[in-house]
Amino acid sequence: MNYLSQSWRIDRRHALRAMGTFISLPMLECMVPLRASEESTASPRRSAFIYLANGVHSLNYQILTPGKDYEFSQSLKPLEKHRDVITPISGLHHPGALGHHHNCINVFLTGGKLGPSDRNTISVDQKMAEVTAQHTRYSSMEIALTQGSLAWTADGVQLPALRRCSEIFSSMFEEPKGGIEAQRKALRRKASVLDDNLAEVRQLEKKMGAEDKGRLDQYLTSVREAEIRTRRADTWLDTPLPEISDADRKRTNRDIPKTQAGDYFRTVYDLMVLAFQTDVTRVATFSLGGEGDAFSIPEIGITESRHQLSHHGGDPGYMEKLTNYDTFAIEQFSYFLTRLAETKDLNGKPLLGSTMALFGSGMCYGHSHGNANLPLVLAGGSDLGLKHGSHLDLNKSSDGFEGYALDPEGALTSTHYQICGRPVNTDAHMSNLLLLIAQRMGVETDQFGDSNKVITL
Amino acid sequence: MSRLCFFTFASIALTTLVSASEPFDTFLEAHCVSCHGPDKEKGDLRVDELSRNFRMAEDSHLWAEVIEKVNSGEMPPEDEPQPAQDEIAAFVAELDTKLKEGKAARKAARPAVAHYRLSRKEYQNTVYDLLGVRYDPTKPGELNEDTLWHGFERIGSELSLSPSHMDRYYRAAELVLDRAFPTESSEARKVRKTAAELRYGGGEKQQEALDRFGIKGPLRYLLFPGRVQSALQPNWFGKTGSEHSGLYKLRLQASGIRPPGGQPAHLSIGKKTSEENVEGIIEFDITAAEDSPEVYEFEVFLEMPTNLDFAVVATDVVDRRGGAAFRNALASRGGYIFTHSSETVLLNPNAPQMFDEKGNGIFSTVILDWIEWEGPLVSEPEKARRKDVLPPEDAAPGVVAEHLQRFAERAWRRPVKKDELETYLASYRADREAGEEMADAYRGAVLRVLTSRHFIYLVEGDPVTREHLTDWELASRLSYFLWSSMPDDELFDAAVSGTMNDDGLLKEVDRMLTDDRINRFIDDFSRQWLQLHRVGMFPPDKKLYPAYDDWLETSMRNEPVEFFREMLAKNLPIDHFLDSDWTVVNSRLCDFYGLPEPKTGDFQRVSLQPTDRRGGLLTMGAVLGLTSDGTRHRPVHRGVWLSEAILNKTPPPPPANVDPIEPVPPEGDKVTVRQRLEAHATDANCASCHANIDPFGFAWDNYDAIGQWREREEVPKGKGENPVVDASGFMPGGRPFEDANEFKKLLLEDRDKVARAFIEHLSTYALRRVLSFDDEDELNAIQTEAEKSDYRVKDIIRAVALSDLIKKR
Repeated sequence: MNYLSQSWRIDRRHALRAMGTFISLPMLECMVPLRASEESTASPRRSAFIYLANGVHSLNYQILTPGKDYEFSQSLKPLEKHRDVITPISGLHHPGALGHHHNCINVFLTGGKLGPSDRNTISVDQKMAEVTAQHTRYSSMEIALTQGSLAWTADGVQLPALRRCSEIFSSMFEEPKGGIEAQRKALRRKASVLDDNLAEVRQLEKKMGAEDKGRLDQYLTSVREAEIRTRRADTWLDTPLPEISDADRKRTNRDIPKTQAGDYFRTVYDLMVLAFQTDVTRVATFSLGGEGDAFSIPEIGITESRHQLSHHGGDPGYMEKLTNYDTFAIEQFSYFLTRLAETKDLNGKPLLGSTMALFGSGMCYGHSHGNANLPLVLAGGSDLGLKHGSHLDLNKSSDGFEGYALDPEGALTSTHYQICGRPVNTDAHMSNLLLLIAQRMGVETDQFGDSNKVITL
Repeated sequence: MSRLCFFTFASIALTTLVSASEPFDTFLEAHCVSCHGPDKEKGDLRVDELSRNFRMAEDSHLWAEVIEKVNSGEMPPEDEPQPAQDEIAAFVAELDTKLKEGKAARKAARPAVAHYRLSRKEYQNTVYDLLGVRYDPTKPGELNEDTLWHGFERIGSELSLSPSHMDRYYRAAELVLDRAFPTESSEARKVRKTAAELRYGGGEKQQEALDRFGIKGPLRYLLFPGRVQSALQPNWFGKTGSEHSGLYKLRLQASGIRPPGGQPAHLSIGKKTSEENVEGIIEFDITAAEDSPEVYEFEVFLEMPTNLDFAVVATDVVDRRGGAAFRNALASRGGYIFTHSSETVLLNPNAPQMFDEKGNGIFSTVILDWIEWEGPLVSEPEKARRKDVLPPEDAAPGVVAEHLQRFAERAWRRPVKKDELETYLASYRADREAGEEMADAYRGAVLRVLTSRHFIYLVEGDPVTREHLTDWELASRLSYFLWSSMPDDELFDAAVSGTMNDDGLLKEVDRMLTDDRINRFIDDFSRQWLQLHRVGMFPPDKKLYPAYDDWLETSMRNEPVEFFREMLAKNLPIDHFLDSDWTVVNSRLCDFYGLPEPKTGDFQRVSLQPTDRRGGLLTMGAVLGLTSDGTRHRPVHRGVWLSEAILNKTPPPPPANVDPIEPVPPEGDKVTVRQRLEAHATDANCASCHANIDPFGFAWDNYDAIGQWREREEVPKGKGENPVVDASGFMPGGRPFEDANEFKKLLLEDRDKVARAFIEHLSTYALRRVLSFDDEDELNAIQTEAEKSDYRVKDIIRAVALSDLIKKR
């Protein structure tokens, strides 16, 4: 077969031959011309998830009053200018993460279980990508500055992460190697190779009938999905890559040493803005660093690792540094929101309206691995119906909550750590929040992870 | 409310079966059924109707909740009659055991056709043994990291596949074929640079100075910590492109200066990461003295074009003292001249001095005389592996099919029928008809073989269930067990000729145990068994542990591996794992442990005195450090590690709702970590569980978070003196110990248990699955066999390799 002159539709013959009679639905779906499906969708919806490891210094982070007239806590101050477009949330937890220490990062976006024989479940970003993938060149982007990504497949497999800014840039905007035709030829070969391997495994599947197929099913779905992506990439070859201005390119297509954390964080945020702006992808996750070795921040005098600061053991110096770190990270998140607000998407609307951004940690009180009362801020997405401006306090609204533990001066006391380790309201699952975001992204479901209701906002 | 945390040990793999009618049902009847039974159904839960089929995990999550509620004291409610503590303990223990048994059985379950994905390491080795291609799957963008199960990288039920894995396997296959059959070939080239040539302008200015002073000795290059220097520039070879990627041989002549009380000179060569450091691909200590330099030789795979730099790694770097000016004076283009430490004052009167009046070095430095690179090198054995993979240009279709079949048989590690390849050949023919070149089209067929499930996975079984492995499957199981790779020709032949039994099998196993490839087993098994991936996971605080650096960490990680290599080579009894009067260390570790400086920098066996306070695995820096949190040692984590690695028992996870640790106010008295865990000992509820974990950790309290010996625990905050360490305790069962040494002796008394655990770890590794009760008879047989030879390590491995267990699906 001549790859160069055959059109996509004739190529399908090859697929049909190789696959025999076992044609699956997703194969056919992927054959729908992309443009047609895109025309039928409303304006894009986007989501970004940002992870801060090791919890926060909760005594300086916790907002004390619920509702509209809340006062910003010390660490959250940098978000004050975005008051109208954010909702700080208190009192949520992942039941599956309680008592699982630093593994909380693995279920942050999945709401899965962490037992020795449990397999993780799909993360909310990947659930969204199932819906958005058909519209964009890449289905999602995974960034983690150290350790693993936040994204997990339905089979509980962690997706690999990108770390370096130049690598992130080239993954989105690099010209195909050797030109479009060479790329097309390579993609068609890949699709055809995967086809043949699928055909082989389907023969075995047929022989095995209804028996337990173990890993076979996973191999099958993975190869099939890889093939769909290959074909999608093929179709995208005809669409020119978005044009990136020299200024944007210069700012983002470079490598930044980890000793310059602020610049590094902001540049990754810039890359996410660029990705959304050009509609290369609509779903992004960004771990500022893993639980074990999130960066130190020498530029503000923090030479210790974040993990180490979080185990402050009551040391006032460490607690102050941890607070400074929290504030610093939140400041950079605020920068992201500012950039989203001032940047317009392909339809000429500010990105922030169509982008939901969740910032937070799977831990609250790092020193004793408290995985409840998670520090979370949801921002943006007003065009998708999110109503912001209040502090959503699920501690306050629960029965039996006796108020935050304050000293005579009104500052939180260390008794507050209790509720950071043990949920005030055992029904206040973080999955309820993830469900809300998923629904607003257009995922048609009334259940995500271990959700028991949807949070309303 | 009283908080209870009752747990007992249950082995990951094997627990003695508790016979029926035990506390379990009695407890439910007495305390639960009245509210959660036929009469009342509080919380929609009827414990009398929960499934007792733990193997199927039908109600496991509900049972787990039962444990949690009873354990936390939440159930039975306060106004109901309360069960006694030992009653709760027995109930929880039995239920926990049942749940674990069920889990193990599920993990061990094999479908009719089982697929065990190759780990990254195994993939790497397999493509090397198949095609002689060097491929590094750990590079960014290559294969995904493997999911670990208690440190093991190769457990089938953990190694899953996502579309992204598939993409990467495809990419890897393309890259491997590019390297095996390059379109542009490139001859090996060699370049040599003297110390003078490495300097700006070929060192002419420095040479002029030497001539003025009438110094005959050649220029040497002083490399110092704090500033990288170029070790390889692609233009040294002339035009250099990706076709020159491959294996390079590096030779260099150097000597090292070790300052009194300082570290041996350590040289790292790799890609520059900062002004003063590189990501080392070659790492070594240079112990040769200034006047007797040595030639060091390495082989390394390079993706060309590439730049590499030298970095001298030490905790005391040059810029600490005088700032950039100081450093620049040493590094400037024409400036610093070095021939010999005795001549530096004469030659560089105005430059910062690197030696004191007695001629001792002030910093760890390396004196480089010359460096030589040669490559890309392809060895004959490597070439031989890909010979005849490609059919000749004019091959008839039948010949092409035969070539593909031959290749597939090696790649898939079994006989392959012609019709299995028919789909691939049809695509090949279609491509040819569409005008593709023969080589291109055939390459497509080879790509298909390498991305097939038969290559990526070890496939065992047929659609019709059978109990035993075929000879082919056995050959693969053995070769992945002992070589982390595919069978070689001899093993293939044994499988073909049906001699994989009795004497034939013994002969093969013995051959494999002495083959060079056994080193892959040593590296892979020891790393996974001892969970060495955790070394450095929480990097130690630089201020608290100034002695800790990357090179120490790498050295620490290697020590248990080298120790294991020696154990296997000498076939020593397992007792040495627990205590020994020797270890295998390099010069960095000698320095760290305070042992006499060795003659060479490499790992070597040294003897230990009781005063060294080392010996066996348990007092190695790696083991003591891997459980720490970067700031302080963690006795509980140490205990859990020991329980898992040495006894193969995994304590149950802590209950979720434990009260948080209150920070200790800095104005209080200094307390040790152990003292802060006092509740574990004094609170009877906590103790019933922690008594089985904590002592395993307290025994090592004389070693800090990076494994340094101490009498007192350094406590940064609080009043008074640093408290004295207490490393005494009681074994579960009551035998007392005073310190680490006595603890080791008690463990030695339990050598049968330790041997059993070691056999279980080996079997899990070999079978690529979690063990279950069904394996018990075979494991007993292995242990009986191993005991005959006094539990010598090589004999144990042989017993596992020859066991009935390994022949079973």
